[in-house]
Amino acid sequence: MAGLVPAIHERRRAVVRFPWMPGTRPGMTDEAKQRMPRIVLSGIAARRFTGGESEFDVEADTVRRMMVELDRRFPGLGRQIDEGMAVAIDGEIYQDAYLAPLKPDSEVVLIPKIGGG
Amino acid sequence: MTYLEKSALKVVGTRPVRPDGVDKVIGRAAFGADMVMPGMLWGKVKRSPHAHARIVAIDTSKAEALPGVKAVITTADFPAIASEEAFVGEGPMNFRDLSYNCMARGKVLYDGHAVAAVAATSPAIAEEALDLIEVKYEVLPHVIDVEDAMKPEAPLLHDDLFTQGVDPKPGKPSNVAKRITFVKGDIASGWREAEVTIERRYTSQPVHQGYIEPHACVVSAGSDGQCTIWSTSQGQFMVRAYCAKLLGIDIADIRAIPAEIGGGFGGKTLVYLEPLALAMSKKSGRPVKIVMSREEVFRGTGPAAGGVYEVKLGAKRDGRIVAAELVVKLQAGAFPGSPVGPACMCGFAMYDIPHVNIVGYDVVSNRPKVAAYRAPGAPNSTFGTESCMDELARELKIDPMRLREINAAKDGTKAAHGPTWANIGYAQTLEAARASGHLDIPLGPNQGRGVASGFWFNIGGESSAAVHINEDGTATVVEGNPDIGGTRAAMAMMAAEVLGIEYDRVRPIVADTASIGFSFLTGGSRVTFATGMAVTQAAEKVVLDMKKRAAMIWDISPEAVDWKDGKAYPAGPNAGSFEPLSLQEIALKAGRTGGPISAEVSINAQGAGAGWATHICDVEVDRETGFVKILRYTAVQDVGRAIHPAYVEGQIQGGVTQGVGWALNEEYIYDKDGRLENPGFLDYRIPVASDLPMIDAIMVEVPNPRHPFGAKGVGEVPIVPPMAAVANAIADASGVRMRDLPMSPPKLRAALDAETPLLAAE
Repeated sequence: MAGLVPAIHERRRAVVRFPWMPGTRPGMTDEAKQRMPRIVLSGIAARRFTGGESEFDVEADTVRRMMVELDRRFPGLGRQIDEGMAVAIDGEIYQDAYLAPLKPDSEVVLIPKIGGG
Repeated sequence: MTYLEKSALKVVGTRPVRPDGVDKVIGRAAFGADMVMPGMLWGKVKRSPHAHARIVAIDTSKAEALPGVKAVITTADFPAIASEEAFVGEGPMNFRDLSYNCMARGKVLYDGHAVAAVAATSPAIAEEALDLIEVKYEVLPHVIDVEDAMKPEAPLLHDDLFTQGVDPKPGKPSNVAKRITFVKGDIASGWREAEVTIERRYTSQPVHQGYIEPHACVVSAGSDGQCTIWSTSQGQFMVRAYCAKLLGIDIADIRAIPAEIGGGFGGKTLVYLEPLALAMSKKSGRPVKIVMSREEVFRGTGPAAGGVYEVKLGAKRDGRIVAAELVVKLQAGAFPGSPVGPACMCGFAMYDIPHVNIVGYDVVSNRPKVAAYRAPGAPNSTFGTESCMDELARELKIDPMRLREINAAKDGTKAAHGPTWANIGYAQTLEAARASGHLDIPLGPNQGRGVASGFWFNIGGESSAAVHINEDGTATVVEGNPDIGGTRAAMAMMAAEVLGIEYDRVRPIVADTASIGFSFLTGGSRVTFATGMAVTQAAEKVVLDMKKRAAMIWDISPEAVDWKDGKAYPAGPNAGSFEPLSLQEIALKAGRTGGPISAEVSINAQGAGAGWATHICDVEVDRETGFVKILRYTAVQDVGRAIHPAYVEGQIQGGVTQGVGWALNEEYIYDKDGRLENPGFLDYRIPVASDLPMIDAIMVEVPNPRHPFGAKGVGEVPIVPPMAAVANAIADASGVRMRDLPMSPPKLRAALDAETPLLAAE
């Protein structure tokens, strides 16, 4: 996992993943431009990256793209998600799942990773 | 493909005998301590007698000179590991801490912390050699209790531990490793809305997982650098990875072979002995075997966390809860990493509450590092929240079950930790509990009834599985997860269902790390869900292949072949007229139709459905002795779909049993010097069969749409409600509210003697 982390920052600097402005991705319908996944930070800890902000809309159709976009906006948050957080997409929990799909109106809640006995 | 239509299932949902059952009954199953090798040495571990001390010097020369001693190791034999976190069973684990936990470096942090190890030609020589190792300690002040450890003046375990999650970053180190917070709504307005508020404090003690089989391993390091590890664990891939990391060995040079496991419950998601045996095998050039004693298991391996739970509830007079607060102070043991996150998220997960504040603290103290234990963290906080729910019900004069029904989370409810629930079965467990008839059974004098609910996430994760069709038409299923709870049977049943053959014709095996793709450890109630998904997909690939073989034999298109009940059929009249080909016939001709028929699938399974449970417990309190007898117990659980109902019921009954032990008797007793005084089953009392009635397990099936058969994890949530269920029953029976676990006879007797009117209603 650690090996993946620098890639976030490299991509953040390169900005090649997101050549478009939010809401202007090629091929987006007008409706889709209005609707983007809503990201919610449930715990307080990760809000240190966001200046206290806990909810934001992100243009992303996979978890990985969401992480990259969040790290672009809030440096360090992508790594935090990658290493220590699970993602609840519309109530269903995903862990270590870059390809998990996000729908335009998805509710995405970032919570601490879950283990178990 | 899904198989959710229950009436169409022929194997899934039945109760066949487990494939490993006979071996385990007659004693043929090979557990961790059963492995022997030619030329094998016996390893023993020297452990700290102090709770907290600086290691001034270790002199091993006399031990090394003892005839028969072939290797002596200390921390000097392990590379220094940089601080690097990985995610294991319980939660985050720092590799540096894991190394330090296996062998003390600089300081010992708890009674029983390993300081050296010896490998000799006999156990007696190894034992004698331990006594010859001279360790000079500088004893330091210690701290055992979680709240004592949080005090500014408490003895510090780690000079470099600064509390995470507070702003600004602290300038001084602390035993509080982390502070986490969850907020929903506006708690201040919640308290303004509330017509009744109740605020209580509860505590629980660390408890051991109590697996009957102590940790054991045999390790052989070859002169060519290739190493083989046989050990009892919840994950051979975990053992391989941690040993590689701690000793600087390439993963490819280690083959980890899983032994049968005599119980784990989360406690075998870490390594303790394997790195030591590996280091001594490398040093001596001979295989090394180490088996822990029961005393070592108690002193040196991880218990579940204990802690303090401060709960405040605010409600309307009609029972609607409008505000809730929870503060969790959880013991991590000697190194950071208690399950404080899940503890915080699980406490109120069952309820739809608009305004919630939750704060959690991860606290180190001079105890063994905690390890996972069924639903780690959830039983802790839930003891507090579900006890407080009962106290609120009494305050409101509302039936405790009714209070839960009024506030039950449903699909669309936003949980306190953020997600909006979907496809959950909590309300159904309440309905089934009511329908069970248990609540209608009359109670006698000194008898009482308690109700409690619980939640656990369950997880998916990385799993691999293979299905091989043998020449005679039988099948072999290969999985990479140790079978703790009957998962071999579940894997074979799912494969048989997809293949369309009898369960007895499928033989499942648990493979070593070189024989199957990576599989995350057995934990988080994930194997039937995640590995079952891999097995199902592998079997489906095999069916697809067999349809192609039949098509080849019939010289028709594969799309024109159907598969049903273990046979290939032409899909319709247009496909041609052929006699069906059985799996056995296709297997016999496998060589001529393209070669062996097999498939392996590796996945990262997502969408594990959460577990929900509601328990009802009846007790009778002996007011003279404080003894609590469990009269009857009903455990209702949303299981998704029970692949093997008997083994699901067994998981539920096992979880309840362990929860009853946690509630009534289990605790670590330390003397004033921080030494554990009860490291054995005589003085650390776990429940035995005669302590319990038959536990009625009621399975509610709300199928998980993400699993081909609808399965959800079942092994963890049954331990979540029992502590509160028992406490609530004791309060109902005796009028005395017990807020500190365990509710052992001396403590209950003292509370009864005090005759304190502790019930909230009074």
